[in-house]
Amino acid sequence: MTRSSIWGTGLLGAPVLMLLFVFLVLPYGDMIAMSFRTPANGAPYGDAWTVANYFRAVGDPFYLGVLGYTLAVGTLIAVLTLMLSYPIALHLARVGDRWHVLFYICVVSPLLIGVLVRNFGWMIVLSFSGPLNQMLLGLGLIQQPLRLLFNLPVVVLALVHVFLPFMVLPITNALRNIDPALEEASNSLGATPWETFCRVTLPLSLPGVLAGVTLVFALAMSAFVTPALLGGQNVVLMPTIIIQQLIGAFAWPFGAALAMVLSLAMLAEIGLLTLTMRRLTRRIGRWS
Amino acid sequence: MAHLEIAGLRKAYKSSQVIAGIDLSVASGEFFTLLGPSGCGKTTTLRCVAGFIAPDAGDIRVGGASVLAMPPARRDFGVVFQNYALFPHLTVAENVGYGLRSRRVPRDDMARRVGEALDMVQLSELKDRLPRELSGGQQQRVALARAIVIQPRLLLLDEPLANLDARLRQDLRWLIRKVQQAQGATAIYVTHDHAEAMAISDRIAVMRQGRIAQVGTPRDIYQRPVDEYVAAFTGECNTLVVRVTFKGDGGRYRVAVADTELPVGGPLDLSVGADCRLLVRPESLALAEAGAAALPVRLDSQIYTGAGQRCEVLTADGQRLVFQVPVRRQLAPGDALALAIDPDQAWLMKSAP
Repeated sequence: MTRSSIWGTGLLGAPVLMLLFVFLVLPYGDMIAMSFRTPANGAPYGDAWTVANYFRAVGDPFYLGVLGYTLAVGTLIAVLTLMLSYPIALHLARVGDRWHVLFYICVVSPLLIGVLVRNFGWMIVLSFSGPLNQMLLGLGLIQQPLRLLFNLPVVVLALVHVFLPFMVLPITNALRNIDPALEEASNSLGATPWETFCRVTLPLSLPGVLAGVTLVFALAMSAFVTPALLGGQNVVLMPTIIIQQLIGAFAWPFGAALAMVLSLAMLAEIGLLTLTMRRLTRRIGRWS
Repeated sequence: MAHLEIAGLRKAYKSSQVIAGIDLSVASGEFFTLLGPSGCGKTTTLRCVAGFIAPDAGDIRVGGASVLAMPPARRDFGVVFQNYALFPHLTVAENVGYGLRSRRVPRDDMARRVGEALDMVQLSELKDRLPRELSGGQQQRVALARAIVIQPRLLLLDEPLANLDARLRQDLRWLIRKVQQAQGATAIYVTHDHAEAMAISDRIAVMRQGRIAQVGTPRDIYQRPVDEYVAAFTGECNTLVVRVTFKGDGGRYRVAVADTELPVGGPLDLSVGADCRLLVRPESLALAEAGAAALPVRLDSQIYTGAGQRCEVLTADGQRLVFQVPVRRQLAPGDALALAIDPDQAWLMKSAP
């Protein structure tokens, strides 16, 4: 590459680099700095430096418990989304051109609705006197309206629903990139369709699975609005606690430390996942 | 006994008839080639045999039994694809062993057979590489080993050399032939390259628009094609419009070209007075020795090609012929020449209806 073309590409990337710097690097830097400050009255933080916030964040069993719970819920959501998405992606990767667009619209439809509208929708549908309860009562399946809101399953359901496209699209893409001749080759060599799926299709789609799982896990771990609206007081996840610290208690340094701990835990799990998947892609389909 | 029989095979996509009725029989151990331009239905025919496509009508029998109801996995055919279709996440040895593993072959038996197959294609050193670390030629050799290691009832090859450069094509052509003969496999080979088809095949079927134009040995279809299409598709050819003036025994004829009469060969069913096409391959034309029966022509142009000079000449009635002349002969456009046609190499064909 010539000198001038490096400058040319650099220039093209400049706006996005600026954007990332101003809205990602600077705030993150500020937050890291803040997490090492002492608390203060009448100001976001004091002048002195301390590591006490981190000792409290990882030393207090309550916060550790919430962190573990959040990781578990994030993992559960990622796994459920994957299980629902893979068959959809398999189908989507095979449909012809005419239906293609329609299926894609169906898959991305949760993203076409704003987060508040979507959650209020869930609240209306699932409320004590809402349509779902009315229908179940009308059919005689229940005698009393059910309490459907403000519990973990509803939060998980709503999050899986909205995260579906983030899983379906990368997996579909990976499946579409598999040469159809590979499946024919596998068939002609005597492998049944199920064997072909396990030994060829699945391993070759794992990069897409990894991308989808990473996205959904990160999104689930940092979701705030849906757990707050649909989970209420009964579902306490890390983002809720952090917001409480920042906005409720005005403990900015401690809130920042909790946010850093959450980010690091998330990074660690994603890193672990990437490593295991990389070994898996090479290994699956091998003679054991 | 015929090993593979194809009877009345038809396949249409929407309105276009891709295969419009094909009947073939291939003997056990034979190397049989489907030759034709793209879109003639040769690959579709092969894919019907492999079981990737279900034909609309007709039957495919192997060893006397129809295979149409069998899924590809149960047909026991080895397929070599144009784009190799190696499993990218498996090593060379794992690719070759894939079919054996599906057949639940015991592990040490499998390792031995994979080793033998890789020896046969001279790739033993590379058995732990991944496909992306191999050249195109090496990949296709792996694909060949993967197809033969299962000792298939049929070896199906779909333009396996089309993505390789000319030198590699030559080498791999011989390797495919050698492996096929060593295994005694019955092979169906699809190609659009007539030179490849000639060199490798026991018999060739030349296809046109979903039908078979001619089936025969390479010698048959090259020297005794049924029509101009087959003649043109099997190599460089000159065709002259001629009239039969005399019919002898055993397919010997005399024909009139412009004002000259020539002795030629042809099929048995032509009659005196018929308008025909005379096939003269460039290599069966030469400048005439004095006194021999010859066709007077005028030189139109000549190009130096290294091994010779490629000359285009015109007959008295304006028909064009191409042939090679040794370089030492000095020629200039406009020269009057006498052409000798080797009567054993010239072949009469019916005019297109």
